[in-house]
Amino acid sequence: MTNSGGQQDLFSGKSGRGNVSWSDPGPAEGCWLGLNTNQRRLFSALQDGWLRPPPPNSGMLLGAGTYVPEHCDGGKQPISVRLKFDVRKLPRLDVLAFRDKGWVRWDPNEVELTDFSALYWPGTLPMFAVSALEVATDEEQARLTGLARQFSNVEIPVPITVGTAAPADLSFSMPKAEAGMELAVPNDSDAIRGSMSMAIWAVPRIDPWLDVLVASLSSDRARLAKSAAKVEADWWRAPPWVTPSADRPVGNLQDGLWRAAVEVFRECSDKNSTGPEELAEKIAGGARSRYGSSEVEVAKWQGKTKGILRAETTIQLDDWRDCPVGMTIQLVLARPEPTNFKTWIQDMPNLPPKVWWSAAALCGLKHGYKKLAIGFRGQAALQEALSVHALRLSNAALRELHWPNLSGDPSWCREASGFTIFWGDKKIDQKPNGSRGQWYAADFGNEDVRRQAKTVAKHMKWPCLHKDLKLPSSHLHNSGPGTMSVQGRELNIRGDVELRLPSSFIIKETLDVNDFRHHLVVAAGRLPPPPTAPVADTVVQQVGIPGLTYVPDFLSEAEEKNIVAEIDQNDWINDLKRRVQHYGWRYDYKARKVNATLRLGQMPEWAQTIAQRLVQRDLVYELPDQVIVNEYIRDQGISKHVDAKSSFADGIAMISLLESWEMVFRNQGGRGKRKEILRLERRSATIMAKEARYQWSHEIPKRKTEPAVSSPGNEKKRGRVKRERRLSLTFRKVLSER
Amino acid sequence: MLDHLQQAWVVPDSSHLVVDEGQDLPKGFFAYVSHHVARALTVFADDDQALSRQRTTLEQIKRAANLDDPIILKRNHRNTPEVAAVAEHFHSGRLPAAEVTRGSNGELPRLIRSRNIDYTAALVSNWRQTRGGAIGVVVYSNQQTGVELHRKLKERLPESRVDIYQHDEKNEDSTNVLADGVTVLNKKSVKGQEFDALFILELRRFIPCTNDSERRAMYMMCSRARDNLFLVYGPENLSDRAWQALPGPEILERQ
Repeated sequence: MTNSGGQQDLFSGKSGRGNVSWSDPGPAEGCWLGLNTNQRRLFSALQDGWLRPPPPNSGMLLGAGTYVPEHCDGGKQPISVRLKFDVRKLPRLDVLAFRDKGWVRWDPNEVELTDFSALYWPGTLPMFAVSALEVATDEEQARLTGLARQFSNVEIPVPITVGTAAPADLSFSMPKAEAGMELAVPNDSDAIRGSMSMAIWAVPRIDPWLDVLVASLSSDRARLAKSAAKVEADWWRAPPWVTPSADRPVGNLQDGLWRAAVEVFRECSDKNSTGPEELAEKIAGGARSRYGSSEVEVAKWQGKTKGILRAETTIQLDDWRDCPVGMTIQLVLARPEPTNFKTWIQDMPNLPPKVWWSAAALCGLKHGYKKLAIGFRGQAALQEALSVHALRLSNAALRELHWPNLSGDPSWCREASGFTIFWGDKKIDQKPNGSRGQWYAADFGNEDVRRQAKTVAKHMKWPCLHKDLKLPSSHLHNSGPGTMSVQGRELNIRGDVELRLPSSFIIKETLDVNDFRHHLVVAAGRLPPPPTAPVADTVVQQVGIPGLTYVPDFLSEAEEKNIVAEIDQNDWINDLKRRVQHYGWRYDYKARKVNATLRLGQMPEWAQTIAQRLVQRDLVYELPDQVIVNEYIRDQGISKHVDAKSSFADGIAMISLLESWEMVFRNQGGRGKRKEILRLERRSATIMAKEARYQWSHEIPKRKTEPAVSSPGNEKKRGRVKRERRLSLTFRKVLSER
Repeated sequence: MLDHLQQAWVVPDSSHLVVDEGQDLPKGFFAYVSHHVARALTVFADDDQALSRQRTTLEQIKRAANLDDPIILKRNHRNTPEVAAVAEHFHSGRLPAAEVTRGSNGELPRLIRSRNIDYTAALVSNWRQTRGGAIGVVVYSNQQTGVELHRKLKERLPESRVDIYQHDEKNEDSTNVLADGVTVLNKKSVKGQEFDALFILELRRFIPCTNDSERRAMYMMCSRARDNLFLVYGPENLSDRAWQALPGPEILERQ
């Protein structure tokens, strides 16, 4: 295989996915590849996120545990920079390594990397794999630090150390590569990554928008369509980082403008030489010709945009109602630099979330990632996830390439202080709570919250207040020309009626909570912070078991009905005798634990609402992030158990739905055996903490009937009723290293 | 005075002095600071941007302070190529114009005819509301136009910073011209500043340039704009000679 010059045909006999060769466990920990380069190459790579092979090469030589020098121009006063790349962070590509005068294919499971002197990396190296950065002197360390500070888009990822390196063995030459899998990063990747970074930076901190964000980053188009419809931003069915399906007319103005803008901004991200008016013209042209938007509507938008860009007029806040995407594009054209774009927050604080967020994503698309200031890029884990995802989206040949440190789909979860965004089981970003998000999660079961929400709704002029007329038993005379008829529970009125009301009528103003929450998601305007006053109307009963709290009527009848309907729309798991659904994290019944790989993503909205309520009413300390739905049919039950102590935090809540069944608690402690029976009424919450959670077991007896509720004064005569169906929702906080 | 200081053996007690805009200081100043104030002296100067007729050339500074040959800064990091092209139109210096390093933004500087001061105020405030950033408005005289324009802009932009820099009020330190907002200033005050967008009003007072000093002033003013430059005249038309003094429409768009 080896020729006299130490060269070999790379990848011969292999093609396509066959090149992905490493299997687990892969390279050993502490294994590194070294490159000796200069400060220019370093800064360029840090801006880009990728270290590209110096032209005309398509790959790079790296030392195996030593530093191979790279001969590139470092300017008048070059600084020699030694970089270590952590092999475990690199994708599993088929690579050649040099040993005994020849290049051979390296399998990390068979041969240690240190047995080789060098490795040929076929393409671009991700900068997130840099694990150490070394220079020769203190002065160079200071110069490199000072130079880095001059760039808004450069951040040295690891501390710069000072040291001397042993000279590398250079008795090899570049192997001749033949067609194989090459880690090539297309230009498109920069625009995509810029857009994703800005989208995550700007995402409205409110549940449905986080749904749209994570759905847009996943490949689940149906989920994206559903979540985009919920926030009334249907154009997000085609996120800026997904290549628009060209030449397919979409008809309406919003979709047409959006898709045309995505195309135009993607093209121009590499250069800024096209002025905003010309860009507006191109977008208008694209919307008309490629996406079938109406000539008249597009011309109207274009004319207005031109006037705005020429300072003949200004953007009016209300414009978003007629043409949200049109306004989105105007915001970007007027302030295309992200640092300047950001000032829209101060200058137009009442922008609706859909316009603000869509514009931020387009701004990132137009601007690209290379020039993006550090403040928009997020933490290292986010940068890593987005580099890989942008590469997957822009280079179809690399879509299946395995990156050991990144797998799974994005998700989010709500925590007490805000939101956490995950990629697979890895935390990639955290967002503090904002006003809207807190309002959205507020406990509307609480009278005080509803009262304050009414004030907000009135102030914001949101039509979510209804007036209910309550009349006592009476006989009312109609003196108007109209007629009235009653059908079931509906009163139909035709024409005007005039009723003389009795003196005891009541007009009640009611908040439509669903409507209010919908406005939080879609409407413009700044909100005051939500009420934080302690909740007064929770009736808590202590039940003679230390640490056990029982809350009757924790859910309303309407809430119970809606939650059951939602649950019944989802798939059940049939592994156990009873049917179950898991949200947030999957529980491994065999291993009796939860681990990081079992993360499912955020809980559904109904579950998040309950979790919030449990915290807001001081029933649990930590916000639950997992719920298991257990369905009990007739004689089904659950034998006595204590919930896995190592997997779940203290404070476990059980919500009972549909029927009221008894639960048996048994003390396992040293003070003798005790047994308590508690009837879990439907819509109640039972919270086990401390002793109740750790020293008492609980069970649902397997039997066909439950004691009937006794009537007052007749307590002794209790019959039994047949069991049919009970749902139990168990809310827990997973203890897991993330 | 210099002789007197020399006889009194007044020696420098500072280690290093940095002087900016050295072209507008008298040459005697450099002799004074180099002999009696600081042991090391660094001067930044561009005599192509000198405002006064009594400018001090680089050669004069070098001789007066006994400095080495100047290091010529050859790169322009401030202006877009479009803005630099208009500034260079008025460039009259001996040294070649610096090489522009910034990329184009695709927007040509514009020549605008204003109907009256309200029209101008609307133009500036619309730009501020739409484009954001730090905006400079240069007037020939604060007393005649600046004060009134400042008042009108404050009315139109109640939420934004709107300042006027007046030489006699010495409010330089309290005016953060680099921050987002609008600053009204005159020809002399704009020296050394930079803005995202710059409006030069009362163009009739600045062109045609009849001597090198006036040309240097136009060069200096135009080069204060980073991204966008507007030359505004009106309501009276420009004279024929003023029109001839302007760059062509391929460099300066007519509106």
